[in-house]
Amino acid sequence: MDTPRKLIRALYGETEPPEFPPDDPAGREWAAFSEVKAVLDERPRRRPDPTVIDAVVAAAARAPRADRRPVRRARSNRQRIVAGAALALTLMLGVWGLWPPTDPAPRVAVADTEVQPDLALAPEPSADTRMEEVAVPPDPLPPKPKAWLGEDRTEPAEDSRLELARRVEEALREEPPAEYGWDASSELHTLRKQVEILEARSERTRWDEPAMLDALIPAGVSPDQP
Amino acid sequence: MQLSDEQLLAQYMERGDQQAFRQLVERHQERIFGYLMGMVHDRETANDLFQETFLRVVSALQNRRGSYETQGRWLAWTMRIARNAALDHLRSRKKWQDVDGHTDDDASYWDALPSDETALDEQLHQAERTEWLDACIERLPPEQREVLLMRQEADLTFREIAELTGCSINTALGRMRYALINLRRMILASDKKPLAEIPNL
Repeated sequence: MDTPRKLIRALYGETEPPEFPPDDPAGREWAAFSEVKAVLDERPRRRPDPTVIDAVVAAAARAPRADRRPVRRARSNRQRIVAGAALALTLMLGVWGLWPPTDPAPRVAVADTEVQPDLALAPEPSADTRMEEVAVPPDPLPPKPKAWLGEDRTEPAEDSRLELARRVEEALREEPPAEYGWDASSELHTLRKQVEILEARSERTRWDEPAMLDALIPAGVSPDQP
Repeated sequence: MQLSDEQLLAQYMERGDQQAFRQLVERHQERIFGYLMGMVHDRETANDLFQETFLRVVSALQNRRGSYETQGRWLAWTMRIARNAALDHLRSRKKWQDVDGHTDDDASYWDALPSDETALDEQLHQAERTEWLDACIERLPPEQREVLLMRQEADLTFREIAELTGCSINTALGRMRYALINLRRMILASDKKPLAEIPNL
């Protein structure tokens, strides 16, 4: 900022008043400005008519109280992040409640021999393991949570996704989800038994056993002799 | 202990305290009214504009108080409203005529001033001192006059004036400098107030 503009700011007390050496042009300008400002400062301050002040205050008093609401502060970034995270979590829970991650092959009880004919040669299973579960195509529709999908329940409104998600979340809290297929031990048990049966059947003909050399066979003993 | 502008405003906004609002208006009435008088040069009109300004203030506080809070200073915010009211009035009266669009170049403006100093002297002698000075201020180019009134009457800082009028602070300071130079020339020419002769100014 150049000197004349600095002088103006100093003249009105916005900066410190400068000091000038004698015969400095800036000093002369400072003196001239100071004289004019002194003339301006001599002017009396003027006020509006008192009736105008009364009218202004009356108008302010007539202003409806309901509109004098406090200022609504803008949300901080942190509040926005927390709100967004809560919304995302709610939506995730809602989706999870509507379409839970189901086993692609739900189980249904059938007899072993119906689907595993090879096992017919296996030892007879015990009575408590006769009935096992095998895979069938999954149900095309998700399970119906009774708590939030009542008989008189209509389709949710288009603009109420959040409300739906919230209700799903509540329903999930009230009614824990059903046991999942991959949690069931019966299928694992079936597989385990099948492996055991196959191992038992192949025990007599192990392919990985090395062939017996003729030189190691005692004389007079036929290789086919048991 | 004197309450700040913000405290008075809060009392009015939150409790409907009329006295707080009155105190706020009376505290700044001279600044705002002095500016309006300098702009319109008519007391009745300035009274009307003063009332109009505060009606707009009340309305703005009801509807968009946030706009005030972002402005920060009560007086600067109210002065912006007063300025808009004055400019609206001047536009409606078609009196807002810039003598010279180049604000910082006063040569062409001075060419347009009346050269009959005798007539001016007679007018000045008949007027009161304040009216005489008002007449001098009125003859300033509009941009210079506005900066002078905002600084001298309304007591706004040059930074606030720059923000309010949409110019740089250097431009505001330059306008003020030329306003003072022009006023000084008028004072010297009128012999109303003895001032020291300073060459090259």
